[in-house]
Amino acid sequence: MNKLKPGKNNKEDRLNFVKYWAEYVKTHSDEDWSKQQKILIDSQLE
Amino acid sequence: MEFIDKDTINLDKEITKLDKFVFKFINILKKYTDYVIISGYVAILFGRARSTEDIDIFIKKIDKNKFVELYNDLINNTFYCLNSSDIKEVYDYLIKGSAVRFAEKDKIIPNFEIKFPKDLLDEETFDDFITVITKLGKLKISSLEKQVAFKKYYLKSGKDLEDAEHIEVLFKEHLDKEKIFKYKKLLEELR
Repeated sequence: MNKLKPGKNNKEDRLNFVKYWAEYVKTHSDEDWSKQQKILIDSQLE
Repeated sequence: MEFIDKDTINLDKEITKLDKFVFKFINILKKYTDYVIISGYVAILFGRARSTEDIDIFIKKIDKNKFVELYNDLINNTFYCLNSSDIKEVYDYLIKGSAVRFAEKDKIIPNFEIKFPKDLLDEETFDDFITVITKLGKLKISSLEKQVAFKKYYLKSGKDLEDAEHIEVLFKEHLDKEKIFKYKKLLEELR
């Protein structure tokens, strides 16, 4: 995977991260990315 | 995740609390009417790094008697309607084109925002959907092209644009760009 490029502003930075994460999801197993996503989602639904 | 055919995706993801909530509701709903999940949860299902307070869903129009059966089944399974506890009023909201929300007892979020389709573009969602097979069962979601078009060219909030970007990167090789353009044009004409 390419390295994450910092954005020139918050909006661009966020969008760069969204693309970076989507690329990660695309190139890794469902088990891999979903374990990370589960921590994020479950922590918000305690 | 992998496409089994052009309308079916197998998703071997870990199940979240949000997914469990979705299946609990859908397993009741589908006994009474057809449905298609739209908007944010679609991106989340495919890995978007965020949660949501609501799951948007179109349900096929049903008559009042059928809706009463659905409503009572939801109530008997710990759901309640945030908009009203009067079934007639809830149904009237839906018939008049408003969305109504259901959550689990003693909770506000997450909730399901359900609505009847209000025009041809909404109705067409039931003919252009994808089945996602998960560890908890199957879900019907709106086509990816329609999701991208709605979020990128109609809704356009920061969150929506990010959802569209996620789907576009993830499904780059599968998305039909002409179909996205067709939906963009339809949105410009009808909305």
